[in-house]
Amino acid sequence: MHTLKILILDDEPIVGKYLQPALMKHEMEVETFQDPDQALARMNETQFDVVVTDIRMKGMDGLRVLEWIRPRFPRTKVIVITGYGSREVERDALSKGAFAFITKPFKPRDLQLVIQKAAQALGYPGSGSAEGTGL
Amino acid sequence: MKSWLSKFLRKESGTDPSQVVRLRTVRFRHLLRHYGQMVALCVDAAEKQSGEYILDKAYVLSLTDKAFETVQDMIYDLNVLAGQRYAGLYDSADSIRQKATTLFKEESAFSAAPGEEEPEYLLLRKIRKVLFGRESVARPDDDASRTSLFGIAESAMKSASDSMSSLMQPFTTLPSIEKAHGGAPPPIKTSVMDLMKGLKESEGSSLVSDPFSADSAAARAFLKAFFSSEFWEGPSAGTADSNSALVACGLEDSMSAVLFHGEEYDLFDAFVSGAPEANHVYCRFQSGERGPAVSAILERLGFSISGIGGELTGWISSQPLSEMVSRVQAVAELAVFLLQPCPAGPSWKAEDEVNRFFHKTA
Repeated sequence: MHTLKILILDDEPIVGKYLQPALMKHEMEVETFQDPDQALARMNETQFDVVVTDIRMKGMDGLRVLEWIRPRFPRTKVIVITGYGSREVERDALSKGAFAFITKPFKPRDLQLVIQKAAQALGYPGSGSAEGTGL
Repeated sequence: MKSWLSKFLRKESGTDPSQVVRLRTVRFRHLLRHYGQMVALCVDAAEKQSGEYILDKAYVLSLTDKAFETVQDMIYDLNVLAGQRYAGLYDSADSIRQKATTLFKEESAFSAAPGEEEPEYLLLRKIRKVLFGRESVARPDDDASRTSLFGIAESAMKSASDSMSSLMQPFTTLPSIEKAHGGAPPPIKTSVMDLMKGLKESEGSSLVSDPFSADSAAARAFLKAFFSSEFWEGPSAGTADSNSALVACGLEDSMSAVLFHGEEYDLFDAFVSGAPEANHVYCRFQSGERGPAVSAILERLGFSISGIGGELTGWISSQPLSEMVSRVQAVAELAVFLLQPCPAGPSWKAEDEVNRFFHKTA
């Protein structure tokens, strides 16, 4: 079974700190970044199946990250983390090709389920699930 | 009696008396809904504090903004209801806002050593204390003693309830209904109004002679449960304070009722419809020493509970119609339960009272 490669980008340390161990329990390879430039440099080195990016970050915001990824890595599924009450941003992200969005606050389990759906869309049913059964 | 009452209300507002009652009960219900929003924010914040959620400062900011906006709305409603007598609460809310602002400024200095709470959770914890922290209030009239925003919300509810009881108090002199449960006279003096019909000076025809014919389903459910309660029977039966009187009014899907006993009152308000998100039941009891039992009973019924001194309030909302009707009936029974002295005497235990209540209402 394919091991999903996930990149998490959020300038708040708590996000990577909580998500990395939670997702790795479900047999995913997870790399976390707080700096968008470092994350994009890493993407030039390694193909990621799923990128999870926050919308609001200092420097490059999540929508620009999305716009950078889509033409270069069309197969990569991008999940956008939005803030409380930001319906317009959610619509914008989806129109620019985001696979899904998830709104803070959220439980790691909620994101894991969205990643499993992304895995299915990539043709990897069962990947990203500790039980290997997928959704 | 009908003409002096109408004159009393018309003199106060210059408008049709039934409209005054109608407008005030609708405004009270508007304030209640904002109170419900504060309760929901409090519950949501507590859940997010659990550590299971990934959250950020933006959530805490949004929570704070919503809480202050909601309390501002409550203070506005209260002042409309009570003739602008509580404008000082705006200043109280502002001073609490300053505390929250200071915390957000200090937040940038938060950092977590290994094993310590993350800055976001620490900020949420501190903000929750400012927004929702409960404290016992030694002097209920002293707004300066309200050190949390929820305390201001509770103060607003207390003042609004007092205003409603003052509105209803004159109606205790109106003719009582003559027949209640099973055709028997009501155990206490009871006036029931159908606010859709209005108050007519010539006949007082808004008064409902048959309480179970009121248009409001919530009012019918409350009155039926109140009069048919088995707690009117038994060893303590018939010893309800002779000063007790019930005033109830119904308007479409809603009802309000005030049970006067001596110098005190219990208050009930409900909106019960086919749209769960619109529904609520609110109750306010002068529970006194029996507070622990009342609190346990309301909690078991699914109410969010709050209390200061000898008063307890319960709030439940957003449930389907049948659930709301059962809660209306339950608080009516509880009102009768509390009117009777506790049969166990001074040595009563809260757990026994709770069991006694649910045994009879099962």
